[in-house]
Amino acid sequence: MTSHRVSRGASYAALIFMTLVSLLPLMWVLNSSVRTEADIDAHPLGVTWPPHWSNYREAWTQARFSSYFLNSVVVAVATVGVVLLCTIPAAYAIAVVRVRYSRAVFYVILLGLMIPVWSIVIPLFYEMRSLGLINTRSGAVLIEAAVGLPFAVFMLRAALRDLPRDVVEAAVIDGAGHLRMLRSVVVPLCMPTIKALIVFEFMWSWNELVVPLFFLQTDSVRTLPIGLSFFQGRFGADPAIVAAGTSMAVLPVLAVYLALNRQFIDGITAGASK
Amino acid sequence: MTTVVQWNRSEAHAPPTGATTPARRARGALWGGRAGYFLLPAIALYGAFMVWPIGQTIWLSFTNWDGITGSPTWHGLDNYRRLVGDARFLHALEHNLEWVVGSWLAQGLGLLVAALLSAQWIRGRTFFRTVIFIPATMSLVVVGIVWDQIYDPNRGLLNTGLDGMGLHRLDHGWLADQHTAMPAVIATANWTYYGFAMVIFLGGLQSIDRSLYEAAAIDGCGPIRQFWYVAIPGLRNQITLLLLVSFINTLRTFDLVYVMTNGGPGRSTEVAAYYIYSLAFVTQQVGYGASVAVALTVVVLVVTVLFLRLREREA
Repeated sequence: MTSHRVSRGASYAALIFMTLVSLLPLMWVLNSSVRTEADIDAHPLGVTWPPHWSNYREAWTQARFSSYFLNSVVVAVATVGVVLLCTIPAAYAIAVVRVRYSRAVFYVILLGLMIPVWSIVIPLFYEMRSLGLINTRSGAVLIEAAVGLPFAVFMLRAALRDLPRDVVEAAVIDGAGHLRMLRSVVVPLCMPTIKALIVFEFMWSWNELVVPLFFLQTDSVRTLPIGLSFFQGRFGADPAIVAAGTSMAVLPVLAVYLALNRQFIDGITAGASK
Repeated sequence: MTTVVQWNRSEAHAPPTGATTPARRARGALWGGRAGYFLLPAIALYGAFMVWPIGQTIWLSFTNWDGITGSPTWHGLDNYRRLVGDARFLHALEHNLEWVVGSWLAQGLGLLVAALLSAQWIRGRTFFRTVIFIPATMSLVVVGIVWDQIYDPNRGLLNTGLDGMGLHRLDHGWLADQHTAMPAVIATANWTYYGFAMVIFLGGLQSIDRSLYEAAAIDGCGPIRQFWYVAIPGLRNQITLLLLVSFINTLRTFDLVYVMTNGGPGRSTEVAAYYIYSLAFVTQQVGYGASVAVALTVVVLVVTVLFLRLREREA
């Protein structure tokens, strides 16, 4: 009986340890973001009281975080929109209508899951420059959407394949056209998958570094991660401001994750089993 | 599930001409399968921003170009000849491999946590799972910046923590030392990996039939042997999936190196993607950079195919 208790205790200890490992770096940054540089230098692990909120104001205005933040929102929302607009009809054609050659198209798109972004970035950089799409948010959106497309097609096709065939056939017999079918059958029944995709594609775009690094090089269009890495170079001397900027980049994602935790975990588990 | 298989079959075995009855057609493809325009937006986007650039990269890999003046000039196989003897490329790939092997630690940690969390008596399962997954949701740029500060020799969390425990001797410029820089970066990467592994393994463990554990218990297996003989075989799909995903992601990894070390000190943390970046965009060897990108892509595809083959053979 005692050995039982010991092993349970050890299990909880291990879980609490992992919880601390996962949280501590984050807590430390959040704490540093409301301190002053002098305090951090004197006592790296201490607490400054009262909190020094002005770091945030400085990051928001002087470090142009307001504009990075806005750009990130615009790019991420537009990327999610483009991905869904392209992939819902495509997955419908592949899995429900079974258009001719759609299987081949599906496998070619699936290959995109493996392709490193490095095999497209080099020529795209020169091409976008000559098209005048460099340093425009729409250029970055198109590339990020193309990169995010294979995963969305993969997930939606799997969800549509599992749709009860009777429902689809009944709708056909009732005279539903393609648009009607998409709107009244496909989209409502795939809603859980679509929601999970919204979360994933948003987060990928929000966290993306490589695409903005090449295609959003001016300060007015930079997104948060890329702005943050420049910001670190520029303000490298003041860890308190860097911490404030970092916290601003983390908190929105954290909020989305905590709010949609269920969809998130279910989405990953579902994706893995397909 | 069975119906899906049947449709596929009816498609595969449909006679090539004439003999397809309308009824069978309707089962396989609706409206005779005509709605190609629904594929167009996806094909256009994917074609313009994935397929076409890949073709261009392949073409560029046979040329010589500085990316600034004139246009690429044909160089035949020169770039690939150079690549075969390029010690810097092989060295970068070695770092990728170290990274792959290092990431197994995170997979193991994820498995351990998942196993603890699936014990029936555990309380606060959702809390632990939610919190332990948090690092996996964060941008690698953010993670890189945070850990860069943690590793800071003077005011970093790691060194001050060690000081606090009286271990001054272990103080270190973690990212400035050739010997510790790579492990430090890999540890940072692992911090973002274990949450994902945990979620995948949790899903797998939940789908294992409880009665298998009971049967093993009746046969006299303790918790550890139950885990080894019931859970591990039941998780085979999850294990191969994680190995594959981590392999693919690790081979193309870039963000942490870019943020934390720029491949240094020396070239001790340079990975293949960073090498491509510095060739094509720093030292202006666009053609050669493209050939390294092609080589990396081929490596990723070959590894993927081998994995999938192996998985199919085992299944």
